[in-house]
Amino acid sequence: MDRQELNHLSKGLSRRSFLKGAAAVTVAAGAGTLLPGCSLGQGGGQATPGAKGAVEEVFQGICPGDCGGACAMNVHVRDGKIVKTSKIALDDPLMTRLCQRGLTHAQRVYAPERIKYPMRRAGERGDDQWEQITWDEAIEEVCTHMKAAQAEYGPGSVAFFCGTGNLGPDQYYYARLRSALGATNIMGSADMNGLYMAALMVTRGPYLHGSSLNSILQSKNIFLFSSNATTANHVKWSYVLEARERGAKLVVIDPNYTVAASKADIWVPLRPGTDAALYMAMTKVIIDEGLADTDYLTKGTVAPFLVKESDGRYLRYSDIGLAEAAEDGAGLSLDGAASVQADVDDGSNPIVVMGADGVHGSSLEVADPVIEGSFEIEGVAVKTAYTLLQERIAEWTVEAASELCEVDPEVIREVARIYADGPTMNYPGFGMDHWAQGPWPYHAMFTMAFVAGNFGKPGASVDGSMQANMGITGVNVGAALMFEGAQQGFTVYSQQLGNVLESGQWMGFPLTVKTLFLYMGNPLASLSDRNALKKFIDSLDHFVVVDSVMSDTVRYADLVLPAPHWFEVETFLPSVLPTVRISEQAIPPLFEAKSDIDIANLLGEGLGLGHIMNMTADEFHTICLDNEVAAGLGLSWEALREQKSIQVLPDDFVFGENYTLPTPTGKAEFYVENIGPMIPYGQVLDQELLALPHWQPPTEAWHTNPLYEKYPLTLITYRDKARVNSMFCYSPWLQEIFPEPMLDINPVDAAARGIANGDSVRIENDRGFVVVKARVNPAVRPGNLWTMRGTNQERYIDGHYATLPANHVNDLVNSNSCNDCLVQVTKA
Amino acid sequence: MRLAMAIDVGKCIGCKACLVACKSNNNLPDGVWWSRVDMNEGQDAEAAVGTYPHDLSIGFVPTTCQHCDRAPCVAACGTGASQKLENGTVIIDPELCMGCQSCIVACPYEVRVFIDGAPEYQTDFPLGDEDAPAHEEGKTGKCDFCAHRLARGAEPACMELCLARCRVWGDLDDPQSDISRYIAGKETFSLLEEEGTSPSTVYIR
Repeated sequence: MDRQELNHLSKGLSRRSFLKGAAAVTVAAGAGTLLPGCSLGQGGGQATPGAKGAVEEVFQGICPGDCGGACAMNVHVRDGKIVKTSKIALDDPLMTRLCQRGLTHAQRVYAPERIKYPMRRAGERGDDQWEQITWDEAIEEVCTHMKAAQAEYGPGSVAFFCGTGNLGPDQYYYARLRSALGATNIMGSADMNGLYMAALMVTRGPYLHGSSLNSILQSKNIFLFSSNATTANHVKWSYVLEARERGAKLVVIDPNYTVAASKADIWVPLRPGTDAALYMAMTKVIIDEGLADTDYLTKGTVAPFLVKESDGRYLRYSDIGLAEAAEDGAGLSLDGAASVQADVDDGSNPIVVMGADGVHGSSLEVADPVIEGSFEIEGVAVKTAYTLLQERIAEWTVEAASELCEVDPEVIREVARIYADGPTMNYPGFGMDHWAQGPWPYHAMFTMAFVAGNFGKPGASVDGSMQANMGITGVNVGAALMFEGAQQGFTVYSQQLGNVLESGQWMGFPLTVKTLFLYMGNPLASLSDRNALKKFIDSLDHFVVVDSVMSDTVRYADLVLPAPHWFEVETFLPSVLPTVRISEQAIPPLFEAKSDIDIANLLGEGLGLGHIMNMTADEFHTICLDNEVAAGLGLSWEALREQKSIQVLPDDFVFGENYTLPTPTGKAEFYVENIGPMIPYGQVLDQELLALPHWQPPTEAWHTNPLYEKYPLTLITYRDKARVNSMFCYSPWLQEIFPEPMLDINPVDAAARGIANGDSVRIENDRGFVVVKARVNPAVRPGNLWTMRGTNQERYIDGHYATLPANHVNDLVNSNSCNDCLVQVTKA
Repeated sequence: MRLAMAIDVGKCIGCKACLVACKSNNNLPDGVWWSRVDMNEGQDAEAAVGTYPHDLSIGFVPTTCQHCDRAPCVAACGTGASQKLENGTVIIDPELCMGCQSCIVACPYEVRVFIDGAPEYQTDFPLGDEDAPAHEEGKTGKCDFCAHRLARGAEPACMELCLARCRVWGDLDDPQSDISRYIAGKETFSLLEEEGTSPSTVYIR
């Protein structure tokens, strides 16, 4: 899982800033408290007499699927069978949650599509012809291929690919094996544009962030930024509803008329791919109309910091002869060898600010720095970061943004004023993330939040898809990666696999991947450019997939290993919520399924790494929760097994409170000094451009692209109600009540193509095609199409959606850019 | 006593968790649903109506047995299987149901389901509540406010969890019940008021 992966890796690299953040949180949280409601978890396999007197056991299960909800639920077992799931009623009724998918787990456990035993491919790849083999044969085959590949092509020729199909920690035990082998880590990067940009601006380490869920109840306004919140994130919608009951205004910024937009006080339909420009124009209105929060800017952000005109770096004491120069850092980075956080402000070489009295000094000492102005200090020309910001966004007048974003100028002014009249909750989704230029809208959004003072306060934080607190709550999923002889192999974006295949290189080193071991994911159905990924798989000698149910990716494997359903093993979920919870084993693994821990150990033994791959699940979970932060919170595996749920953040937790953030400067960084890529592979970043918010046109889906002539429609996607990516796609219940994948098309675009409601239509571009039924739907912005992504082949009439979007990326971070996609649609 | 449900359609987000809760806890056979979510203007599921961008609406109307005070199904039932109970719920006594389907014809809400053929399930063991009703070939079934749950003091399965918190349940005759307090002072409406069925299910815009 890429988010956590990045989290724990970056932790080691920017350890100082992480520990700074963690310590702050520990103090804020005080001693860990047991969530009062957890006693209602009814866990521990408590036997209760059923209505007819039969014994029904109830366990606490956690759904670790990639909606991110991490919902705890009761798992009911009768006669050794999981028969249903039900809600766990918590003290906070708003937190009580279980969705339409979570109610279908029994069907997922007993799905005919369950993988029952190890299987070897019998036909061609993708033929879905299988031969049953024993575990011994399977392990031997995998190990033989891995050993042969490494002997001939080096450690990196064995690759591991973890999907996002399980947010629990057990995937990191496979990562232990990967590290023991020095194997390549393929990162199926998705949702990372916004998350990485946010990490640069507010954490530089701990990955997801935000205040407690009920912080929103104190919000005066809630702004949904490209968030399909009633579908993609709907287990949290109760909080938005309650906030609205208490008077909060809801503003939804989205190209399409989503259900959330239908509930809004104001819906701002903007042109897709222009979000950053809109936020910069709103920020300019806020500044120009005197609505900026100068107190927050001065105390909580980098606004007063002086930036050298010569190189865009902060003016530090070392620049004016008052301290030794620090070793240069390269920003937050995943590449183990390259970077350290040398610029952390530890006080030895402080950043210089200008005092209101005209005397410059250390940012740590000057109490009343100015936030605007240009100065010359000891012969060095500098400006404040806030002045640079104002210069940067000067071009984004309301009129300019109105023309680009196709939003009425008065609407821009109105929503800017509402936004500034906080506390306003920032509630982003990933709609604006899924573009090649996906980081920049988040840069602009967070900047607007800082300027308006809508951050680090009760009711003003980041919620929506980015609200969570992994990594600062004592869960160290990377603990198993620290061992004698651990080798950091390459980390390769899945988006770069085509380049690796073509060049035989990564980061200038030779790299030929020969065997791929993939788990907890179905990238052929879920990621972009399915044909490119297939081509990469075609180049492999051996492709192994671990899963519990069949999928497009499983069907393309050479060897398949059966994993248990989530409720067939004991594990826990790191805190997406403010609570760490155990997920109990309700029944033993069905058929011949083996736990991920067991599979990794078997492979370790077969590869001669038995001395490293020798932990039991208990031992692994114990070390994940054995650290100073956890101890301070009363969190340990033993305590978790006993208590079932341990709250690790207080109910009133405010992220970034008291003007302090776990960034190198300790401040909210709208100016990102010395910006570094998430994974360096030779990119050269334009430091000046990326230091501040900016807009640039979408890479593909823009009218100036010559391709637009042939493919004039932008294909925007959503995650639908019946699935989480491809998970749950085999539930008969969900299939019966939710439509098959469809294409939503505006009546204007449909009429122009002679398409009627219910017609089969072919969506295509140069990369691929899919045939689905059309739903003529005025909710869709004209010129755009809307379809769900992430299901298996058999749900489509022909072709597959994932063949359409490209792997367009930016140099800062590669991530799934599925919305940046031009197509044409015709009647099939 | 008049058990009833209020549904605040202004809040409904169409997630259908209520449908799945009903389906799973009542162990309904494949293809059988006792509740559904209609669209506000009868348009295709999940679609809006109107013109982009300023004249649009999308709304969901969760629908199931309305537990009418003047229930046409009860009047139409020749065997006494369809009954209005003292607690206000309308039920079908499977012992008495002959499967004649006259109630299905009589009900304007299209919420009764005849089980035509042997019921089929994904699993060969029952899912859901242990005391879920049996579903027999040749009989008609429908929402009974989860009578088996009410009997043990629990709420109907669709109340298991409404993610948009738009369902409120209770006794309309009790002014202190959740439902009475929720609808107090609010403008309510019923489905197909012109049918004169006087439903217990109350909708709020």
